Amino acid sequence: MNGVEVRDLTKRYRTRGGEVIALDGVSLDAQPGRMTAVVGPSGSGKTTLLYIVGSLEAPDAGSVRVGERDIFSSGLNLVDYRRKTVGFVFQFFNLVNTYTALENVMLPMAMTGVARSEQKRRARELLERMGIGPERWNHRPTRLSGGEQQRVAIARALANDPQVILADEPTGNLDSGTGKIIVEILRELSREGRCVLVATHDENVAGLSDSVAHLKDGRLVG
Amino acid sequence: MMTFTRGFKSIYRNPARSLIVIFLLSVCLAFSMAMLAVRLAADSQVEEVKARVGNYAEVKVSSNVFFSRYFAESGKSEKERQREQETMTEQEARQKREETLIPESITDEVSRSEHVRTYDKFLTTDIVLPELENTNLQMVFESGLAKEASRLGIQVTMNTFPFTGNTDAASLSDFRDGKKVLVEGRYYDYFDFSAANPVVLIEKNLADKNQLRTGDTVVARIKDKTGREAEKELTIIGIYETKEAESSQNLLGFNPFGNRFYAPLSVVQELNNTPGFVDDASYYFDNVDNTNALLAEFRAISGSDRYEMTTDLVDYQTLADPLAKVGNTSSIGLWGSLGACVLILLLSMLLIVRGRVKELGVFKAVGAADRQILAQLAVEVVVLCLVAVIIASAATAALGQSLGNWLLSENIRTEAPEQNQKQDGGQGMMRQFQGGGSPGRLASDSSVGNQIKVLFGNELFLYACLILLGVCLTGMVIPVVGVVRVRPARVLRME
Ligand SMILES: Nc1ncnc2c1ncn2[C@@H]1O[C@H](COP(=O)(O)OP(=O)(O)OP(=O)(O)O)[C@@H](O)[C@H]1O
Ligand SMILES: [Mg+2]
Repeated sequence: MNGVEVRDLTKRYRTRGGEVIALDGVSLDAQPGRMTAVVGPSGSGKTTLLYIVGSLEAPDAGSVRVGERDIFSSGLNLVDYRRKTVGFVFQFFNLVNTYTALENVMLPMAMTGVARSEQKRRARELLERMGIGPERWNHRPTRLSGGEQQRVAIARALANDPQVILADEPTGNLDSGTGKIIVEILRELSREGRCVLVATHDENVAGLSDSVAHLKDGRLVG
Repeated sequence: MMTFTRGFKSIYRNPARSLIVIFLLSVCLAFSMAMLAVRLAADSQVEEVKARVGNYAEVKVSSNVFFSRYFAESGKSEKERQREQETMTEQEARQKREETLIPESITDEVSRSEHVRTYDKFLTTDIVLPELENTNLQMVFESGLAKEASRLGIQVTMNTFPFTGNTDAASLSDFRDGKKVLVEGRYYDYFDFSAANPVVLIEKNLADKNQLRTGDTVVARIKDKTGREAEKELTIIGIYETKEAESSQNLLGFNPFGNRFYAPLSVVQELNNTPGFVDDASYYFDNVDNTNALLAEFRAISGSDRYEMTTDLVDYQTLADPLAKVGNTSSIGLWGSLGACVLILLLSMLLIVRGRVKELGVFKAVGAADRQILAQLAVEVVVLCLVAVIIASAATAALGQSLGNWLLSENIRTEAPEQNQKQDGGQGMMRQFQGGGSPGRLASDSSVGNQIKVLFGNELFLYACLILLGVCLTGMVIPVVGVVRVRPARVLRME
C-alpha cells in the first residue's frame, strides 16, 4: 500500500473581495497503515487539502504523490484515480437520497464496471462490516440516523478497496459517542494498511490518530 | 444496464414534474407531427396535381388577330362582301383563309422542344358534301345563325358539314373523354395522316339517314374559287355514336347535332385548300415548372405576336396554390411547435440538473466519468421524449386530418373569388369568339386539389423519429453543459 506525500501545496481562491490563500506551502506525509489527522480551526484549509489530495481540485503550486506518481503532473487518469485509489468520506455524508443504502455503496463499483451481482455481494459485506444490518439495506438515507449515514458513507468509500481514505470532519455532525465509533472504524481501516487522512477540528479525534498535523490559515504550525 | 435503471429511477423521483413535462411535450409534439403530416400531404398532393394539371399548352393565332378580322368583316355591308367575293382571285381567297391559321412549320418546330411529350395539330372547318343532306341545318337557318355566320364570311349551305382533322383520331379528346364512341370500323392513324389517305369518320345518325356503311364513299368539295371541278372522294372507315352532345358555345363550332366528320389533318387541309396550315396545335409537356421555358421557346420560334401559346398554368395554380399555402402554414406551425418542444425540454432539464448539482458532484467524486453521468441523463431525456412521442402519435392520428381539412378550406375560401375574376374578366369573350379549346385537350381532373389526404405512413414515422432524435439532442444540451461545469469541490462544500 502507498502513502500520500504532499509537497509545498498552495491554493488560492479568487473572490470578489480579493484573493484568499486557502493553502500556503503545505507539506505533509501520510503513511500507509497509519491514521493521520489534520487539525485546525474553521477556514484553515483542511477541506481544501483533502479535496486536492482527492483530485477534486487542482493546486496552484506544489505536488501530491501517491505511491510513485504525482497525481497532477504525471498524466494520471484522474477519473480512474478517484475510482480506485481514493475513497472519500464527507462532512455532510453526501449520500444520494434517491438511492437505498445498498445502492449508494454499489454506485462506485457501477462506475468501474463491476458485475451487478458482485456489486451487491460486496456492498452487503461492507455494510455488514460497518454494522448496518440487512433490515437497513433498502432504506433511503433520509430514514437513517446520522451515524448510520456516515457508516454507509464509509462503506461507499471502501467500495473499490482504495489505498487512501480521505475523511473530512467525519464526526462533525455526530454526537460524541457515535463520533467515537466512527473514528474507531477509521482506525481499523488504517490497521489494514490503508492510508487514512482525517481532517477535523476535534482534538479528541486528533488524540486517537497516529500522527497529527496542525493547520492554521493555510500553513502548518507546530 | 445500470445506467438505464438509474435513469428510470430519476424519472420516478419526481413523478408530478415528469408527468407535467410529458404532457406539455406530447401536446407540442402532437401539434408538430400533425403539422408535419399536413405538410407532407400538401407536398405530395402538389406533386399529384403537377402530374395531371398545368402541363397542357396550345398554340394558335392570337385572339387580337381574330378581333381585328371580326371588326373588319362586320363593318362591311352585304353588298360589299358579295362584290369582294366575286372579284377575289383564287390566291386572295386562300390568303384570306390562311389569315386565321398558323403554319405547321411553327407548330412542328415547337413540338421539337425537349419539354414536349405529346403533340397534335388540328384544323376544323366546314366542308360542302353536295350529295349529303344535313337536314338538321334547317333549324340553323331558321334561327338566323347562318346569317350571322355569313357576316363573318362563312358560307353555310344545307350541305355544309363541320370537319375536324388531326394526326390520329384515337387521340382526339372527344373519343378519349368518351363523348363519342366508335361503333364500327376503325380510327384513322398517323399513317393515314402522313399518307393523306382520303378517309373519314362519320356520325351514326347521319350515316343511317343516308344509308352509309363503312367502305362507302362520300364526295366533298374542295374550297376554291369555282369549286365545281375540284371534288374529292372520301372513304368512310369508321362510324361513331354521339354519347354527349357537343357543347361549344362559339359560333364557328356550333354543331348541336354532332354531324361532325373526322379526317386526317392532311385531308382536311386539302379540302380547305390550306395546305401547311392548322387552327391550333396542342402539347402535353413534362411539367408545369417548365411553362416559362416552353413559352420562351415558343416566342423564339414564332418570332411575332401574331401567334400565341396558352397554357394551363392558371388551372394549376387554382389547385396548387391553396395546397402550397397549407404547406407553408403547416411548416410555420411545425417549426413553432418544435421550438416549443425544445424550449419545454430545455427548461425542464435545467430544473432537473440544477436540482441535482450536489448529486452530480457526488457522482464525480466517486469516480463517475462525465460520459456515464450524461448517459444516465440521456436515458431520462429519451424516456420522457419517447413517452411523449407515443402519446403524440396517437393524438396526431386523430388530429391531422381535421387540421389539414381546416387549413385547406381556409385557404380555398380566401383564394377562390380572386381566381374567378381573373378567368372571366379578360378571356371570356375571347374564348367564346375563338372556340373553346382544342380538340386535343382532355377533360382535366379538378378533384385532385380540392381535398387533402393526410396519411400516417412510413414517411411520417421516419420524420417522427428524426424529430424525436432532434428534440432529444437539443434537450441534452443543458445536461451536457451542466455536467461538464459541475465542480465537485465546490458543490460538495455546501451542506
Ligand atoms: N470556492 C471557494 N472560493 C473562495 N474561497 C474559498 C473557496 N473554497 C474555500 N475557500 C476559502 O478557503 C479557505 C479554506 O477553506 P476550507 O474549506 O479548506 O477550510 P476548512 O479548514 O475546511 O474549514 P471548516 O472547518 O469550516 O470546514 C477559507 O477561507 C474559505 O473561505
Ligand atoms: Mg472543511
